[in-house]
Amino acid sequence: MKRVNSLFWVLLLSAFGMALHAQTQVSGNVTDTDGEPLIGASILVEGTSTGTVTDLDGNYTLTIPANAETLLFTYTGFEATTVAIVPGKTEYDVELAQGLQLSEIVVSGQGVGIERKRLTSTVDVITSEQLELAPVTQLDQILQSRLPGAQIRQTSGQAGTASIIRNRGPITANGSTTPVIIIDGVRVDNLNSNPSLGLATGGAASSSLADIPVEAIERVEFIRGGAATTLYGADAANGVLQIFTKRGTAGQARVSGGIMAGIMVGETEFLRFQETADILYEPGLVQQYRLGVDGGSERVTYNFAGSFYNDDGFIDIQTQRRISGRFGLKAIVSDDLTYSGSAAFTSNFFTRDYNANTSFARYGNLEGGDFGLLDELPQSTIDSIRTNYAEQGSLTDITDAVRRFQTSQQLTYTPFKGFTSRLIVGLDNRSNRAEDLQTNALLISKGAVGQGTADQGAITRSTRNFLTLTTDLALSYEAEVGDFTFTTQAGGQLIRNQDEQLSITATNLVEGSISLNNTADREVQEFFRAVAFGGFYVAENIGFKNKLFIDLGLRWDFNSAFGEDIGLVNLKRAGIRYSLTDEPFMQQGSLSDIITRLSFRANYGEASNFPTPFARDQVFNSIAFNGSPAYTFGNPGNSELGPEVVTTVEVGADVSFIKGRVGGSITYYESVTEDALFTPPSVPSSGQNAQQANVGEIENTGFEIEAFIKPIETRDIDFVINASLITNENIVTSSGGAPEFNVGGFTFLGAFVKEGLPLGYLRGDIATINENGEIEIERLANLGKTNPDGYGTLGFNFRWKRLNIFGSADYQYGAQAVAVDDVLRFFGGVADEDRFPEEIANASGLSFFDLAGYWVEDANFFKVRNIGVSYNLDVSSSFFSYIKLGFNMRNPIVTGSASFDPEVTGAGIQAQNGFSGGGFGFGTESAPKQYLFSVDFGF
Amino acid sequence: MKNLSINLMRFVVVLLLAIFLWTCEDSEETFDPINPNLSVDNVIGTIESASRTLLGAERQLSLTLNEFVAVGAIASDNYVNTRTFFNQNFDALTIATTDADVNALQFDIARLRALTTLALDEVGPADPDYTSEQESGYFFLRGMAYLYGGSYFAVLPAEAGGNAVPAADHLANAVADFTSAIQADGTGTYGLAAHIGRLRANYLLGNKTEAVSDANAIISAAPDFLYSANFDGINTSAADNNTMQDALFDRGSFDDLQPLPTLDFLDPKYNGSDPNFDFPTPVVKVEEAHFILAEAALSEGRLEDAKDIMRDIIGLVATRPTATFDDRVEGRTHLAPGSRPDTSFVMVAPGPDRPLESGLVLDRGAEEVTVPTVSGTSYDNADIDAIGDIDFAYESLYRMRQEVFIAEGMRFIDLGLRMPVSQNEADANPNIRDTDQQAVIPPFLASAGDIDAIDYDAAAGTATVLVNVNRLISENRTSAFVAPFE
Repeated sequence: MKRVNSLFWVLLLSAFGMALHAQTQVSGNVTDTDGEPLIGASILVEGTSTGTVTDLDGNYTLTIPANAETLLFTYTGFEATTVAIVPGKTEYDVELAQGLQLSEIVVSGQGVGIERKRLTSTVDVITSEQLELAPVTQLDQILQSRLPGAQIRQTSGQAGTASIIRNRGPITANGSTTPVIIIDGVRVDNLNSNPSLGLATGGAASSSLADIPVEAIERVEFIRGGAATTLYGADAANGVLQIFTKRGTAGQARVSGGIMAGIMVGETEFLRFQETADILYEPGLVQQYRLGVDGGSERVTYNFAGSFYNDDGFIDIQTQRRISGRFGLKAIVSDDLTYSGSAAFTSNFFTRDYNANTSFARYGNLEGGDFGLLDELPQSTIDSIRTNYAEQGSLTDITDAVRRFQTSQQLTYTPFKGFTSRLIVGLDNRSNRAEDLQTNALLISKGAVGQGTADQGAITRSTRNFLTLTTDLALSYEAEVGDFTFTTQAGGQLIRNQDEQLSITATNLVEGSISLNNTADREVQEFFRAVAFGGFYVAENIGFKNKLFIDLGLRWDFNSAFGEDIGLVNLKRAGIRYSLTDEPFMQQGSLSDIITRLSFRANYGEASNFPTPFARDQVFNSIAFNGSPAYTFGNPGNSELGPEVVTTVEVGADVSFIKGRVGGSITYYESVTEDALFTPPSVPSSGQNAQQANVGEIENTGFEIEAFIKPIETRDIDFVINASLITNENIVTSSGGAPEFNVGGFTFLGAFVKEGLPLGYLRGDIATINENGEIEIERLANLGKTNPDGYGTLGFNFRWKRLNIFGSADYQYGAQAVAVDDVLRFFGGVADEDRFPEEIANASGLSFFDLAGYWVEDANFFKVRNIGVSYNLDVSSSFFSYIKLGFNMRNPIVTGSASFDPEVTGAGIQAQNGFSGGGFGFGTESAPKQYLFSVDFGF
Repeated sequence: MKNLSINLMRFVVVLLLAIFLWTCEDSEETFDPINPNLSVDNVIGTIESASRTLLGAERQLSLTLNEFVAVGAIASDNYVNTRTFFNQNFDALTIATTDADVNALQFDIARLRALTTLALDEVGPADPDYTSEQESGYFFLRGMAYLYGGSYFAVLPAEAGGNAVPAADHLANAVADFTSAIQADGTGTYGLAAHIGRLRANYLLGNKTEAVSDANAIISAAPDFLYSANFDGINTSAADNNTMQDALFDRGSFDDLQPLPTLDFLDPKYNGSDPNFDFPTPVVKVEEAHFILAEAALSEGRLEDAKDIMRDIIGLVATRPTATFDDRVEGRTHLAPGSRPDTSFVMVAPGPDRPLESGLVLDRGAEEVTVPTVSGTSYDNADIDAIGDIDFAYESLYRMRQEVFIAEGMRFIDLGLRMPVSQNEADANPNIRDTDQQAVIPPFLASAGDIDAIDYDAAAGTATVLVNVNRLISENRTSAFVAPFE
């Protein structure tokens, strides 16, 4: 009973457990082949999750279970090594050889965890060492330029706003390309757009990615959508991003902390008028304070990390404040049962300005030519605009408050050798309240109402509460028979999401009040969406002589969003990896000196996205119309509504040469979204609403190429350069005969879905001069596409003794986007010079609809996201275990091919994780430059 | 030890699953969440279903108006679309089968027809409280769906996925439904409104006798009859707001549609600063009956009779309400202030050969501006007295019509413009032929150039309408496109 009580308290109160059994303690030192200590190398009791990392001198101490047999040593960029535990021996010094980290244990794509070498597909990994190089504030910023296989595009410079995350092209017209995000095995909210009932302040929407606590991240694994995500079931077709958090390592309490401070300044590179910066931009202070503690006994370890972040933005009224903390705990309950848990809380508060397509947008109005050519105005006019804008700013009151709680509770049971079972239960609860408070004074300052107006004040409040619950059971059994090794996996998940939103608009707000209670009229809207889904799977990974691996998997999915005619959906995958360098003949002589590693892989797999919850149901709408219910047709209903299934075939190779000094990988992928979920207009003569149906087909093909080179690698100096290139060709191969439909932008110039063209191609009219000198207007022409032909990352890391200099950049090419700001400037008679050919500019009778094509520009860019330097002080004779000084520049160099920021094109993103092609540059500030100093320490 | 662990494991699994289930409010919903919206079973045969569906159909009528009033005004000479995102192509009389507004109007007409058909066939009969007034309402509103189909389109399917049938068929269906509405409840609002609906359908069909008969009937039964489409100004859903009010006034510091200077004194018909109220749009009003009688008289050469009727119209219009609103934010235009007539100092010539008239332009930017909200006209009895021939009588009658029906979507029809069957319909409906996808632009308009062009001399305070479209109607009244009684 005492044990039951202990477990109960451990589980529910996350308290420290009790040591129940005597353990063995082992220690040692981990170095590279040159004898240089490896800092942060991972040591794991094989087959368990018991482990630790080396300190700054490469030393480690680990308490291992009595039945532990093997230690696994891993380090990024090095070959993993296993060492058998000899009874009585407590010191194990290990030397790791460089190379591709194919023996690393990865979890992604598999239930419990598997050697990376056995995987037949690629996994991008970001380790905590990489994460800690630069100050960490927001998840998508962390990922940007660090995940070679994914593109992360910030859609607004305003803090905490949505980003476009993409890999392998847009696979669906029915949603965004944001991957599933899993923290410690628990799915979390990944709404990466405005909610359905979000505030309409012009496109700036808080993204749920912005408030995922980034403290205590041990590692991030990203698997691209396709064969690797089959076993994740619903919605995993966009890929899966897994975050694993720290649980602490045994020993005395270690305290770590950090202070980061700096400034952010508005980006001027893409401004039409430099005066915009003079009027609006002002440098803002950025500060972050972190504190962490970890330690524990032999049987119970813990980790706590918390931080406070504040920035004043780069415009007077854009600010962000965040407090977050995470607690992790791991307890060995008995020889065969381990508990592990984490819990995190974050509270975010933003203040924002009006943006993009609202006439209140200060930035948008300046750049949109509302005042004509700013660069030709006298200074006195600029000064008066500045004064007026400062007043507007002081009266603007748009806020967004987010609170989020997440937890993961995990039990691992290993009753006998080779068998592991793991149960995870957890939840993510995110609530936010966005509010736009418009006083009469604000409206008067904006010129929207006349002086003396007293009855136009309003409050718009949007609230969202999202809860997702995950239960995940995974079983794994490893066996060895002769030359064959078998890893058998089985398991299942049960997940439930519930999204509740309210939008309240209250008008005739009396001056001096900020309460809904003090308004004369109130109107409310509700949004409710709930979905339960899950599935079960079996998978078999067969290895032959450690060089040939075959991977087979089957999954059955159920989902409450499926139509009643759809039962379980079956998904399949199969893959193979062959490691040529594991052949004996490759390991002899000079060949092995040249080719360190060469393996080939091929995969086939199916992944799915589920339909919009409730889209299957036929309903009537009862609409409040002048105070009474008014019935009309609602969703027509579709009993055959099922998931869209993305079938991916990929082949690739991983290679490294000259003892791992040069290497890379190449993958060709071809994915076909079958039964793609389209919501095309119904035949107009039916008078019925558009109904979601599995009628489309979308194809994505391309190459993924990653490469690294280490030109210098000595005891004192390391220099690594890495680069990636992902190409993509996207086409809607079939629309099932359905009419073309809009997925973003405007009617006259929007993103549309049409058979034979890329998903979300840009459509509009274009007037040209024919050979006879006459004007010809091509109606609804294909003007471009928002998805790039290619994108990638570029990075380097240079270490000289204790000094690290690093940088990362990313780029895209072959996409187009719309210069919406210039459409507005055109209205004001100040369109960009040379926008139109002379004959077109001088032609009479052409409307801006006819000119749409001229506002489509190439959206290529190259952006250096980070350049930083850090220095580890020598603290060997001090109280500190480390002190790291850092200086980091964010967005130091940005360049693009368009008259606007080609990355900041979020005006084309649909609400509620709808299609997110982007592609509309519309009165939105670029991400600011930041100059950040940091001190990190531990003792 | 092992057994204890397994027992612990079981205990924990049960505990965690229980937590999972308990976290949901209703465990029965855990795996099958319930759609909170209204199922079909909750509509047919339920309390108040007939009245709620009638209100839904009236709302659908309003939504249909939202699709054609603004774009119809843009296509006509009434308004120029200087720089709004409302349809720019219509302003140049480019009415394409692929145009989103063409498609949206077909959809809304079909939806109004489908909703009223469901109401007549199922919802009404299943509701024990179904009244003859409701039945009359369903018939009237379905009649309006057919009427719009027959007046905005040359051909259009009359049923889901059906052939595109000629406008005359839609108008005949409209006449039948309006007749049923009158039969169901001849004295109620819908029955009276059906008289005007039926006279318009007969007018467009050229059935003078039937149209005149209905005109006389409604003038006698309800001499100030007005049936308007209401909007919901409180709900923030843009669809339920008056789109034309948005196009004319509510756009704050964005530009709005700019009226022809001869119509400036009527703009914006829908206005006001109450954010919770949107002005209703007249759907049928008794003025139309008088116009039918006047045009019938002119078609028979009875000039003086027609002039008498026009005087009646002036008298009737004078009884209609006006609204005074704060016009300080509206501009002519916002981005180019003063580029269009914006003071009462400006005199306007309604055609290049017409004399300048005063009183047509109001002082814009004034704190108080007053405009008619149902009907208005610049004509007075002296103007009518001065009409000396049939040609000028037609020109004057159509100018008066243009004024009285401004911002109601009527001018598009009066000009003989017709939309084509939309591309979306053609894509999804195999019965659509290529010939169904042609818009109708009367040749005299197509060759007239920019029909809402003006010549404005701000310094001199004069503005001239460069194309006298009412003259064109008069001159071409024997064509098949306009003035159906000729």
